[in-house]
Amino acid sequence: MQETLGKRIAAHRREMNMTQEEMAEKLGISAQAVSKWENDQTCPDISLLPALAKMLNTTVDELLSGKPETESGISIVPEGQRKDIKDMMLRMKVDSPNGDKVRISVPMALVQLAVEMGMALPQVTGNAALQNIDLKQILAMVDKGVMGNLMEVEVADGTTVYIYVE
Amino acid sequence: MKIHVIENGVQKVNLHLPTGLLLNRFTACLAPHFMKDNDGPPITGAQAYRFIKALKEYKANHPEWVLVEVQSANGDYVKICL
Repeated sequence: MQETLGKRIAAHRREMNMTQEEMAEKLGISAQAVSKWENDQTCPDISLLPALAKMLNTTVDELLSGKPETESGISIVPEGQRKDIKDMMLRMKVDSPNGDKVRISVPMALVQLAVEMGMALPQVTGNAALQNIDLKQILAMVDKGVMGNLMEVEVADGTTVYIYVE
Repeated sequence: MKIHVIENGVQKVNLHLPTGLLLNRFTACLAPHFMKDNDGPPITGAQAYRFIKALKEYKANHPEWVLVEVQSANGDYVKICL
């Protein structure tokens, strides 16, 4: 996750394949203002934050804190508001007690294909801590609109595995 | 594909490879044999090619996608971007 508000806004905007001009037009401000936000020269007006977060498919909390919403909970997105599976990302975080950290991001479209091909997570990631995780179940949950922190598992040796979809 | 490896604070590997060189019809043909040799699920070349196509499509739409990031307790760091 990016360190500053400006960097987070820029990263989300690029993820949405949006230019600074397009974003400025939708918010009714100038492109220079967006450029200043992204370069951390100024901050967005507080009254713009909800619209900005909505446009960037995120939350005000995530924009301000940099902590993904998925780390704080789970949500069920109503059918009409769900993102296309092609734009979803399955993220896996493995934190071992000795301080090793692994971060894996796999597009949901690839997870879907992997399930069709009969692959399991260790074959996708090569990480043994993820061996009992059922990709089919994850896919089924996402199909039903479940987003956010799907799983938080602590393995016997103290390794913690987080799986979330965003 | 970009591979960055930092060991003890020193950059050991900074490899930039054209994605098309690694993900193409030829490598899709090799994938079923690789899977078989490594006890992977039986897949066909066509399935592997579909997978590769989806991978390239996602990469084209999300150029900043980081596939794997590993940070060890002793400071070693590996990052793979497609």
